[in-house]
Amino acid sequence: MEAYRAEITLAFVTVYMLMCVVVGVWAMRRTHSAGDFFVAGRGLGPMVIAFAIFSSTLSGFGFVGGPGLVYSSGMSSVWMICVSTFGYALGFFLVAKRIRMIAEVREAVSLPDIVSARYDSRTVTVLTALTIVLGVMGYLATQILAMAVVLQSVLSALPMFEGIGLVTCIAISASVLVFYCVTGGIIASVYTDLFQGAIMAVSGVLILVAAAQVFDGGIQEASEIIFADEPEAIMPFGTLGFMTCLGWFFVFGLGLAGQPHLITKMMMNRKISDNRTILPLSLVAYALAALLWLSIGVVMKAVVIDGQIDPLAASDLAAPSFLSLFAHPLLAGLVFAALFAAIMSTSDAFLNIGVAAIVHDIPKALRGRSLGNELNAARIWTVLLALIATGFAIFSFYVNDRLVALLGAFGWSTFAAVIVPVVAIGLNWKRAHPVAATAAILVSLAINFGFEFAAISLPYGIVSGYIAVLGSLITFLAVSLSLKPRRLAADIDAVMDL
Amino acid sequence: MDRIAVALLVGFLVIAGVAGLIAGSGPSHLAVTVLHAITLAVFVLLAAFSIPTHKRNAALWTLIGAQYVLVLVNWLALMANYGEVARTGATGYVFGFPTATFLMIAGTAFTALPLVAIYVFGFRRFIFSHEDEARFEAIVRDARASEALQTDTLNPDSGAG
Repeated sequence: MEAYRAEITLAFVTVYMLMCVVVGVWAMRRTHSAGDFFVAGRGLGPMVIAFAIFSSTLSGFGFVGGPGLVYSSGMSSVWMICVSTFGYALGFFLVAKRIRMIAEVREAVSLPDIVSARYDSRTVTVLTALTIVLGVMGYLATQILAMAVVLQSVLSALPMFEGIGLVTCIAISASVLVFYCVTGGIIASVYTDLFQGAIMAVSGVLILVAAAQVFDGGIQEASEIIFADEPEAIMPFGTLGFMTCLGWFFVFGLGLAGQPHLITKMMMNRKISDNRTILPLSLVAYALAALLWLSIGVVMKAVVIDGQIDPLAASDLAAPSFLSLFAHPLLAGLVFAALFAAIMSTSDAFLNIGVAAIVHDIPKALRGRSLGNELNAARIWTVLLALIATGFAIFSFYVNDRLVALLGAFGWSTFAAVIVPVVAIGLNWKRAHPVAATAAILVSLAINFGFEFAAISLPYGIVSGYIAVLGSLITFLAVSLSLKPRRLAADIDAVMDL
Repeated sequence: MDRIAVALLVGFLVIAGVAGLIAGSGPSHLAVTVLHAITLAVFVLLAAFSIPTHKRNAALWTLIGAQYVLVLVNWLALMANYGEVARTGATGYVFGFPTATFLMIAGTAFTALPLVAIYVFGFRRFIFSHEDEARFEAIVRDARASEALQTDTLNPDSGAG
């Protein structure tokens, strides 16, 4: 079987992609309106929503960048995943109930619709929609690039595809993604998330088992090898130190409630009471899938220190190297399919919210109504947005070769800094003022992009996202408290009392 | 409600202040311990803040308080163990990881589970009671009726037969 490793991996990936296409065709028959396309008519069950939320949380960043970060900087990045219990809980406490209620009362199909209902402010709505489009472009480009890089590594292992170009791989993988997103909209997205999430959770557990068998003494032997060589790497703060770890804890713990592709899913469940099932289901599934992040990173670092293999050329190679060296070919095939699942489940969510912002939110805020024939416009813009993001991906690949992981973290903190105050706090606090929301969005964008473009590095590894989230929250609360409260619409006021 | 917003604002300002002090003079164990303890308090407080004022009773504050104590104890144990390893250069192992690292991975994840339990098992008591559900259905009915009225006003022939 070992001799056919490359063929087995390709078979798994092909079957997975065919399943995505089949779901797309099936979902097309259930998509009759823009409401179906963007929020699945608010008729989804708890299992579908739970897996959609969790699989959108864990992107290619988690499956490739995560193990890479553990390999390169020890346990520092694990703070991003161990905070998940807090992250999911806060997301549900702060957002899930009220976003679903406002979605039903106002027939909202997107996050900017919710913002519009809450603040009754064109400026805040447009700024939120623009932030989403901006963030989506960065995120989507990164995901498309990651998908193509992985496909290239899968295909080039076979003699018949040796030397296949990156652009060809981008075309193949983006075509599958665009197909099911265009045909089935969010319905295809969430139902593909269901089996994508299942593959990811199963892979996480199986990889932990495989990783524990690399050394006779299991994970403890791997830990001891790292501790003997570089103690700090296996200790709780890794090699990046206190401030980076606690910054990530803060940004990822609070930030889950500010990820638009996740909280939009909280508008789609059939019953509000389903939230009490969705929260534990999504958390458990995420925890299982995240085992891959931890176990591969630790074991790959230990085998390199132990001299079993040469140091990796790049930290992002930790997961692919582990799969080719230590995983059974069938498991490697499954995990490669899971990797595509992780990337695609996040990408389809981003495509959907980005298209909603362009077709529905921005035109509605600027001219009072969305584009004519919203469903067709949504399908056309899904293709266009994917094309633009693909162009951006190719450009960034040849001009800027920074780690996928760091781009992922930057995107997360931008959304966290903008949406946590405006939506997560705003939906719970009647005094939250539209001027404060505008100020918070501008402050967060200025800090995030200012630090990024000026390449400012803070002392002691303090992450810029930490400053951005703190800055936007302080601005939002202080400005709201300093202004006279604004009267809310009667229905929103009543919903916020519940 | 505003008192909680002020508390949050103060909390975030203190977090920013402590982080700024650390950035200026270098992270000490004590400063980091205090910083994270405040962050944990803000997280727990935010969960409580999302529950409407009239449902924030003694039972809820007891649960929220117990939750905070639990995560704080885990955090203090983590830092104590981490400091000990720094002093002695030796560590014990729990489930394959150094004790302090285990407290970070599993301790941080598991000690926050009571918050999930409050949401799941206290859903009808704190989050969305049957009375809330009935009131919400009434709000939706009113919204639909108001929409229908608006449509009729804008287009008087729409209801004609």
